[in-house]
Amino acid sequence: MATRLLDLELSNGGSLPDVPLRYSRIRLLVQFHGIPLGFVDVENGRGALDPSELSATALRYLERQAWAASLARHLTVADGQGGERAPVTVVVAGTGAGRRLERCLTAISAQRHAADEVLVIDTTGLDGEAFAVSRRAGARLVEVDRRGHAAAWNRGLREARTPIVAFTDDRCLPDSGWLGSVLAGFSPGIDAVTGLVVPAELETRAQEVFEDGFAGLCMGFEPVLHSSHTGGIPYRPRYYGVGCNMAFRREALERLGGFDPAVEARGGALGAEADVLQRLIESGASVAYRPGAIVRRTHARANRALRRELHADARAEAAALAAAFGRAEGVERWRVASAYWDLIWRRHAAVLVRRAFRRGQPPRRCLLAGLLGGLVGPATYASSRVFRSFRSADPSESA
Amino acid sequence: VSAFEPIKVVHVSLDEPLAALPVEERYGQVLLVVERAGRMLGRVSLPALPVVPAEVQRDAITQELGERVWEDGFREALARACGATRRTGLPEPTVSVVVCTRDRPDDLERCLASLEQLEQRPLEVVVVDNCPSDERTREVCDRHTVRYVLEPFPGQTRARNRGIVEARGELVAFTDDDCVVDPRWLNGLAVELEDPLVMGITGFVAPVELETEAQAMFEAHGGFFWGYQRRVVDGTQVDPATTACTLGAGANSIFVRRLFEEVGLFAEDLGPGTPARAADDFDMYWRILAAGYRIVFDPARLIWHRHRREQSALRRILYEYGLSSSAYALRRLVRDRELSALRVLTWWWFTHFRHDVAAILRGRRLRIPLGYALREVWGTLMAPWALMRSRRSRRGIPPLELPPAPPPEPAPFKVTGAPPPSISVVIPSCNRCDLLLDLLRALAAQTYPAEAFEAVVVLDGSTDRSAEAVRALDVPYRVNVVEQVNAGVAAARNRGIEEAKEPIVLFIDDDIIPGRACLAEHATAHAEAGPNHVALGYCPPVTDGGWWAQTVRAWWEDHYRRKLSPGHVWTYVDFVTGNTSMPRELLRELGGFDPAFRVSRDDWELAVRLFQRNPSFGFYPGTAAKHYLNTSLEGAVRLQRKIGTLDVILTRRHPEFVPHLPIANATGIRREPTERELSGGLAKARLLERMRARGKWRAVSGRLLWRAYLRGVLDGVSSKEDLTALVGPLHSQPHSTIRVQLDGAAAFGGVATEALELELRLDGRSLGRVGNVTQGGQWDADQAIRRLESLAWPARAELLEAELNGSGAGTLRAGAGVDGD
Repeated sequence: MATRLLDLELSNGGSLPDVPLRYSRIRLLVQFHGIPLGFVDVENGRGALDPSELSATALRYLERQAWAASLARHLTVADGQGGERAPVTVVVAGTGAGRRLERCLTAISAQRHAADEVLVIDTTGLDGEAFAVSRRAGARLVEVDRRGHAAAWNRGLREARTPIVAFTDDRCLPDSGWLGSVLAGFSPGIDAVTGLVVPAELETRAQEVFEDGFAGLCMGFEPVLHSSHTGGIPYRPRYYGVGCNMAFRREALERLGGFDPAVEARGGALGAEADVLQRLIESGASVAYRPGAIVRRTHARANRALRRELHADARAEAAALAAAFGRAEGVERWRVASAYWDLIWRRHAAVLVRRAFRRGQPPRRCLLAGLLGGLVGPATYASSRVFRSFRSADPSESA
Repeated sequence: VSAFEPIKVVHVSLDEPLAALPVEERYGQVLLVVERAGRMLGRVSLPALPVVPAEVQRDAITQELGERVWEDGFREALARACGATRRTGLPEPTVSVVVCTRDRPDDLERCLASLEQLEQRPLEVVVVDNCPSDERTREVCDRHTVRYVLEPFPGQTRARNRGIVEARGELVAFTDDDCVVDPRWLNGLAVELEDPLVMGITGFVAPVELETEAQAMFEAHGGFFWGYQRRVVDGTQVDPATTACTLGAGANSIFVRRLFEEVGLFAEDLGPGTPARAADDFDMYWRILAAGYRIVFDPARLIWHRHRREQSALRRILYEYGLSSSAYALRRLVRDRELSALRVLTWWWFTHFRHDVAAILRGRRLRIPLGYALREVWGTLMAPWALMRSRRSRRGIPPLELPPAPPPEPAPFKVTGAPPPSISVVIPSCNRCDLLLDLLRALAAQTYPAEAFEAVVVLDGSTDRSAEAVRALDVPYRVNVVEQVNAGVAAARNRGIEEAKEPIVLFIDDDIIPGRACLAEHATAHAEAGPNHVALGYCPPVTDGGWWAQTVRAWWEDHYRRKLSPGHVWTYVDFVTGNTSMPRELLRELGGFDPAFRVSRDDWELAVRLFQRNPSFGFYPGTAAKHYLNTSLEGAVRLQRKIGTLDVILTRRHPEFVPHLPIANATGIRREPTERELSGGLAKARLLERMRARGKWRAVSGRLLWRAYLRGVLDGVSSKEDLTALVGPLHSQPHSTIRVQLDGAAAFGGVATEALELELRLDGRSLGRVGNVTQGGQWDADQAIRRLESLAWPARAELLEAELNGSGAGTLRAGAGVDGD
């Protein structure tokens, strides 16, 4: 049984699509004037959906958010304060089929705020169609001989010429307001902006498990300003944002030396950005999470791929924490250690123990994959660092 | 551990567009103090960016304070819909601002500069220089237009008392030298003082800066935070000893000057500069509440306080707060037998200290160190010793005397428009010779010319030789003494109407002493309003300090205040006979009072007939008189019993009355009230008053009066079945409903005794109902708002929907990213 995703905009009219009965559930992404308020699930019963009834249901569940959103509309903002409108490059890391890439590039060219340049980085995974697709979409295709997102992003960073660089990948479809919303988030002191990642489809069981059992890649519907100033340095690399929906000031990234490929694990949604954002916050800059910047991502469809993704995500998070542990001093080390304990025990092992005696979600094998990822993460990070230090002697890599 | 970064404090008003906020480099955080339309909403903390964009502020405010803003808006809409508009055009009272200072010229300079920015200018600013060590304070004062007063004896309360003695305004507003006042601090005081029982007004004290860790710690530890919600605290409704500790800081307090004549000046052995250190403000608040007055806590009255910057000062202040509030509690306990003051002590030991320790264990940022928390508790234990030392330290210091304010001199009587009519003052009296003579002497002192009125004294079976005494009295006006066999007050008034020779009849009972302008006001009222006018006068009861007397006074003051509210709907509840004048012919046409109502309810019964003639009504506060009412609980029980019997007669005569009388609830009595029960209840109430158990006393006395009323009702009917037959069919009548349109303006104003149910409506839909709201009592928009506020939560979803629909109907559109693949 699958879930159908629909958008429910509370403010304007629209037609109602018929949802086939093979979908048992409808998940509504409720928005108010483009501000996402949250998800509301309804049963897909027989008969047509009544928009006003659904709105009423949605409001019952998302009352607080709806009040906040309507208040935000009433609060006026002085003119000329609407963030920066700097030139921007969109870097698309391409790993899959040309058709997938084409849809992504179409969505990017349909942005209300047009990108100044679109770069497609081919990490040796793209097929022959990619070149033609990129040319049609007016994007520049760059090939990298190393696999992995970190390498692709680093290359994109080198190629980009604009002060702000936004990243996404070919599994994603940005909403039309995405780039505008991301750019509006930048202001002095904010060096990175991340956004909301919602599923593009929930057709298979694996996708549903990822969303329902592990909260997907959604970081909530409230804008957050991650910073070390309120309450000390946070150590929550899982929650700053995801690589398929983020944007940086180029000079801030270059100052930090770009993305560290040692952090990422193959097949994950989370990777080197967890480490970069953590370092950015530690350096005193702020990271804005803006739910208004929406990207729809097609999650792994097969169970095996899901487990690999969960494993890789936990590994990347643990690696980012290990890196933070290396940088921390004194009491801060305890805070990093407690964040790692949180990852291992509270989010994985404890759930696994509970699931050992009880039926339900999430599946045990998925939890186990995540737990293993969390456990091996620091070790693989360390070994990868050592390995890389040998390889960096190679002059071809440092170019 | 990361080092402390200073916090920038910014005042944000939602009435103006939010603007980008530049932040200096040294700050790590920004604290937004948010207000809207002069109402404090709350605070939001943000990380410091070089420039905090308006959007970031907006997002944080909507996330943190969205609910509060909504509640505020709902209350505003409710007030508009209920028509609770305050009177406008009232004269602003004169205010003396008193600033007590001691060797802090720089701080004082800032404070005085901010006082010059006040929108509502005070009458004067009095700076009391307390025991100074040099001339710097005087030099600062010379640069500003203030009055400089030197107080040689140390102690902040002593300085404050000196300020009160020197002050010439109707109000005395206190602030400290380390404070900066908001320009709107003194705005709208006239509206607050509309309620004559409001004696104190306190406000919000916010930090002016959080530059050091000690300041941030103090703020995180509670600071001067007493909530964001405006509240009117009524001394008769709360427990004074504990509530006095929750009403705000003395650095932002405004008092009515005549209060000090009644409850005395500040206690000089409490407060800064004495061994007891602080809590002089708590002590004053307690005195106000214990005297049955009211204090308004209004967060919109904002003052910015500079907390002490040094850690050592923080440590000392926390110790002092522990010590002084315990000293206050001990004083209440020992001197006033207020047992509830024990709760102040237990709060420090078990609640406050526990929270401190929990914060330390959880490692919360800006928690106070354990040593400071222990010092706080140590302070509470040192309180008895400190109190003793404090009292000893005041020996040999002559107390300050408050010069009595001269009695207000009424304006001489002047004819402006139509010639004022002559008045017959009808005074029914029974065995109260002394008061009667005082009353007649007060009539002789009227500003109204003596040849323009006469007094008709109807002695209703007096046996204390009143007649001789009255006849022997030498007064400039005509006195007509009529004697009759005791027949009740209604019959006595009827007799007075018969005897009256002048066109206007003014009823004054023998326990009312009119002020000097009373008759003149009545005459002018009739001259201006034309024929068929009923002029209602003001005669609040004089209290002796008992709890029942305070309750009665509060009831009467509210009753009079309601008649003054704009858009007041006149009903029979407003009609009382004391200090009321109306045309004699109107009374004769109505046939006078019904003599069956010997003690009470005669006024309502007449009013029902009076309303059929459509007279005009007016309330004249200038007719002030003093009412020496019997305010003992015993008297009230006796009266309630008689009223119960009279209500049976009233029900028989006017059945349409029943839904508005308490008798409507009198059916289904399981246990009949007995004499023994009534006397027992009275003894219990007396005991509770002696034990100072306010809450329990309120419950017991309320029940006692209801049982006395029931006894009276049963006295009036032959059996319970008779009562059911009398009230039952009428009681089941459909309730009348008042509809309050949330989107409309002032659909409901003033008093409405008919309302048995309130319904809140929006856009033609019902959002909910509040039932059983009144039974013959007083009822106004403020009460309606209080009751309707309970509907806010259930009606939220519907209100929200209407809000969102304001910009179009909520509909669906297909997911943009889902195209089936």
